[in-house]
Parts: sequence; C-alpha cells; structure tokens
Amino acid sequence: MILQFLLMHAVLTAVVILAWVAWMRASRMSRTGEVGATTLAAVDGRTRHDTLRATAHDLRNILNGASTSVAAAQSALPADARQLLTTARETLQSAHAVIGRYLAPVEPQDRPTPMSEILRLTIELLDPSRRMVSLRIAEDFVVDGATSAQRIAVNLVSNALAAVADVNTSRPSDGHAARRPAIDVEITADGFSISNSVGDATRLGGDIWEAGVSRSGSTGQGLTIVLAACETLHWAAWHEVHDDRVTFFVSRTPRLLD
Amino acid sequence: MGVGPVKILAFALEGVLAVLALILARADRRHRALGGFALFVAVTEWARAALIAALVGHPRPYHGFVRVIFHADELLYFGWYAALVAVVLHYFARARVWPVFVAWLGIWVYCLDYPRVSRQTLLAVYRAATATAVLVTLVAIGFGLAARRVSRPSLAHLIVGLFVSAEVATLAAAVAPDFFNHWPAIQYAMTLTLSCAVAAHVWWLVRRRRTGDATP
Repeated sequence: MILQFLLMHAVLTAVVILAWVAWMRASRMSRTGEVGATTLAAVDGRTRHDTLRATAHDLRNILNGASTSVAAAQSALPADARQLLTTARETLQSAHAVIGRYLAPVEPQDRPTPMSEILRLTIELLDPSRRMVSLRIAEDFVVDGATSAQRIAVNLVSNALAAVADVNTSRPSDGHAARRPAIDVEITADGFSISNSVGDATRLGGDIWEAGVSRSGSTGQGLTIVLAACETLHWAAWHEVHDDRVTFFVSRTPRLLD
Repeated sequence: MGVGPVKILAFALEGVLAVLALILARADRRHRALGGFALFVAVTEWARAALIAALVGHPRPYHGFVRVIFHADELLYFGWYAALVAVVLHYFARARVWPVFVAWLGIWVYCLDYPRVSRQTLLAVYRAATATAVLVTLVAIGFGLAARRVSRPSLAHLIVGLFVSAEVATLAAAVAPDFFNHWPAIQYAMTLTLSCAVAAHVWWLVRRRRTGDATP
C-alpha cells in the first residue's frame, strides 16, 4: 500500500513537471512568434534591407525574362510573337506576385509583454551573434503598448549598432576590445537605457531628436519616431554624452524639465 | 509521533525552499506570492512540530494553556491549505484570495467548540477541509487554464502544481481506513515534492543569472 502511494505520487509529480515543461515551451514559441512578427513589422533597418535585396534580385531576373520575350516578339512571326507576349505577360504576373508577397502586411500583436522579452528579441534579430550587445536586467516590467515599445527598442538598438560600426571603421580596435560587447542595454524599474561609444561626441547635440537630422546617412526619422512612440506610451526619452560614450534613456515616467 | 530523519530533511528543505523563493521574489515581483507561500510553509511546519511536541503527554481533553496550543496547531493546519488555495487562485485563476482566509478563520472558529469538536468529529473536519481545498485548487487550475487566465507560465505555476499533486496523493491516502499507517509514506512524498521544488528554484535562479532573463 505504501509503495502504491509512493508510486502514485511519483507519477503525479512527473506528470506535473512534464505538463509544465510542455506548457512553457508552447507559451515561449507562441510569444516568440508574436513578438518576432511585431518586431519585424517595426524594423526599418537591416532586416528589411536584406529582404529588399532578395526581392530585388528575384524581380531583376523576372523582368529580364519579360524583356527578352518582348524583344524576341518584335522580330518574330505573328503566331510566335503571340506566344512570346503571352510568356512575357505570365512573367510580369510573377513579378506582381513577388511584389505582393513583399507588401503583405505583418499584423503586430499589442498585448502586455515584458520589456526584457522585447529587448531580447530585438537584439537577437539585429545582432544574432550577440557579440555587440549585452543585456542586463536589474528589474523587469511589463509593457502594455508592446508595438510602440518595440519601435523604440528597434530604433535605438539599430542606431547604436550603426554608431558602433562607424566607430570600428574609423578607429580600428585591438582584439581585446573586439571581444567585449560595445553596446550595453540595461532594464531598470523605471525604464531602460542603451549605451555605446561614438566617434564624434560633438555631433550629438539636442537637435538629433528633430526630424530630418541624420548623422549616419539614414532617413533621419529614427529618433523622431522614438519620441512619438514614447508620447503614445506617456514615456520620456533623452540622451546624455560623457566623453566618447552616449547613453539613450527611456523612462516610464515623464521627465521633469530642469 | 517522533521526528525522524525524513522529517528533519523535510524541515531543512522547507527552509532552503523559503530562502530560495524569497531570493527569487526579491528579483522578480511575479514570484512574491510564491515567496510568501514558501515562507509560510516553512514557518507553519516548524511551528506545528513544536506545538505537537508540546502537546505530547498531556491528557485529553485539553485545558488551559495546553488547549491554546492545541487550537494554535489547528489554526496552522488549516492555514497550510488556505495558503495553498490562495496561491492557486492567485497564479492560475487571477482571483481575489480574501474569501479563502475568511473560510480559514471560519473553520477554525468552528473547531474552537471543544471538546465537542474533537477526535472523530475533528478528523472528519480535517478530511473535509483537505478534500474541499484540493477540489477548489483543481477547479481553479482547470478554470484558469480553460479561460486562459494565465498569460505566461512561470516557476510559480510549477511549484504550486507540485504541491497540489502532493495533496491529491495525500488525499487519496487520507480516505484509506489505515491513514495513519501511511504517515511515513506521506513524509517521503512531501520530501520528494520539496526536493523537486528546491531543484526547480536553483535551476530557475541559475538560468536567470546566466541569461539575464527568467524565461527558459
């Protein structure tokens, strides 16, 4: 009887543990999918650029084929020309389908999400090797407007990666420095911060938050979008420069003007 | 009922679990209720061992200060189930827990009608309270999962699930006629549950420290 009881208890314990593991995996896969899709929808930089390059490659091949068919039809007999034009039309329909696939909307999910998850997935997406960015979580918090928070995270991490790449290009570093993550992301109870080294700190005045001001050759809209997203969440964002390092702060409480 | 090596091991595991749960609760506010539960479990079990030891050798029915000790033990016994139901409602059903504590005090007040509520009557109350608590926890877990009240599973759900499974097994043993003959087995079972809970806490804390995130 005692053995039966112990066996029953052991089986129940095992069932609970296995069920919990399965639940955790399912939940993680679901959330990763949702947040990943939302992050992809928010990405303006490298990933979108890579997708565009692949799409451009496909389109060039297709349009080349259509152009060749039309050119051949001009000097062909009427019956052959009709066939060649049909082929060209079908080829152009393929191009239309490729563009349609690229323009397919990705529906962002705006459900409460921990800030650590948003930043972790953003970093995984933008810095897959995790060599450039370190993430430290002093205290996590849950964000209600996950889409806006992801927009902020993506823009600031993208900016930091671009700035660090600029520094590395202009100032070759030794092997020791290359192994250390150059961007420090930290989550606190109040918000989060992203800190990185910069090549020329004098270029980081207060006007960087204005639309159209770009230091890297981008559109110059990134920080303006960050401010707009912060306004949506009733958050605040600002930056501070110390020596050759800049830190962007995002606070969940509006910053008092000093 | 003496305190054997298995019970001493269980006491130690309860203490370790309370410390680990409080460390986790300090780092992650989602686990504060779990930290409170683990601390309550440890303090309750240690206090009950001391109270039961103080009752040994005193003739029934109890009088005076000995009766106070007896009722204090009853309060802690029901408190353990109240705490379990409360954490299940909190983590799985996202429901308010104050009715649980009202019920806890209500049952205890009923048991103050001593010596009318003693021996077989008290045993029946204990069994009814245990069965009700287990039933409520199972319904709450089922309801919480079916209604998708849990947005994200965490360590707390595993720990609470382990304790509930242990109580289900204990309840099955409690309905057997020779319940008290199974007492060593119940102690082994609770030790297994506590060991799993401690190991899960260590794993969770190590992973959290290594990755900077509690999500496995």
